[in-house]
Amino acid sequence: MRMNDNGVGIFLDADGVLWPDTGAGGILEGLVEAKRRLRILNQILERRENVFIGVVSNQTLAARAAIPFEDFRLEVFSTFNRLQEDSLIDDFRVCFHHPNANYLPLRIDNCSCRKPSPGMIIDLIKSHALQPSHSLMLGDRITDVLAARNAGLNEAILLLGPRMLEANISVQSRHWGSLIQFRIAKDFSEFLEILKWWIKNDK
Amino acid sequence: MISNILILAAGEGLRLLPLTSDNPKPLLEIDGENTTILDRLLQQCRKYLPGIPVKINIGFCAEKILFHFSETLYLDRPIFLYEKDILGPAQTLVQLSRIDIGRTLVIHGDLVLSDEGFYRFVEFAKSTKSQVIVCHERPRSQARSEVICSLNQRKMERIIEYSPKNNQLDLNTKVLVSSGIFIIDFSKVSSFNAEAKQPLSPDLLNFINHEKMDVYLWSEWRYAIDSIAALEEVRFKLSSNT
Repeated sequence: MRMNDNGVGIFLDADGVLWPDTGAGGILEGLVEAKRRLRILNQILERRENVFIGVVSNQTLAARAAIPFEDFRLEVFSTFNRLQEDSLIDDFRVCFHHPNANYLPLRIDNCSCRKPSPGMIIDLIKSHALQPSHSLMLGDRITDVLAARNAGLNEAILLLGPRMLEANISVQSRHWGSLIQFRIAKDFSEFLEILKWWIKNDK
Repeated sequence: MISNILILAAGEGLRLLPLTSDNPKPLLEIDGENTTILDRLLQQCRKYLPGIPVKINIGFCAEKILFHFSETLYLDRPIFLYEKDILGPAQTLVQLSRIDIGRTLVIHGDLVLSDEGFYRFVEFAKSTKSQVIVCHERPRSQARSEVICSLNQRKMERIIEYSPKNNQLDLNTKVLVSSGIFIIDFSKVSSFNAEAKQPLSPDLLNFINHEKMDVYLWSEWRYAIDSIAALEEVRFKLSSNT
């Protein structure tokens, strides 16, 4: 992947990437930290016109019936809209579904959007005419890596953490290929260092 | 030229229990200075095959291998290939052939190799465009399979597994056995139908051997860490070297 190519997409997970993973409601407190991290990312990229920054996020707090769905949806969209208004991201997609949701309208077993399904990434690729072969995904779970692979992205980078290889396998088995290829980064700061190196060396 | 390096490190290391009960075998320390089997292999790949991407397949205790490499500089880190369920080396190669096509150096992740040997092998690898199987000599009594070569020993004919009827053979005779190092053209692998947990040899290697693999005879020291005794031996060897 070369950062100077056209149609480069950088896809970011939200919980554990834009802000620390504190559970399903992390987004409610995550805006300030997300802005801080994304500002640095944008500085490093010098906001290149050829590089798209997108967020693809599973948000399950409402599915767990911990908060009314409409309230949560507004909160989530408000957060990502503000990042978009500040030109820190170009676009986002959110999946509110969960196969075991307590809130039944969100209980969907095989939606095309919930990662590791590639639906959210593919939708952004189509909407913004991106090149999967010039794009990467950063996530903190193996399901993010799987979504990237299922969408045909060139690179997937996994942030290290105690739950990085966790996945609800019984539900998601159809998405598991036999070999899942990725690189690792210790944390978001190190991801930025890797990105800097790629840009400097035209990788 | 070699386009990729694959180090096989997904196995459960059952022969080294209890050392491998919650630690993958390639992370066993070998020199008293925190160098693991995997570190040494990776260092040798970087030194003698610079610039060639290194991939490590991980499965058993995968998170330990990932955290282990978090301590290294990111530019020195390999690419990882995660197996949720342990596939076995043959199926790993078949799956990888669907991602990568190219001439790939495949190394078992439990090998401790001399620098001299690694260097000589790489020089040989540069001199041939063929697929390669690395072999060493072993008394027939200690071999589980045998690499049958052409008369001048430069091309592999096939690998045979020993069965009880082979017991009638002269057990003291030295035979060539696979050293766990190969150069494989992945385009030749994709149509092989591997079963779960199937080892690399002999079925897969016989399958891809239509164009006759070159045989490279490893003459320097090497250890396959397939027992606690072998681990102790290599630790002694490396401590003596320093």
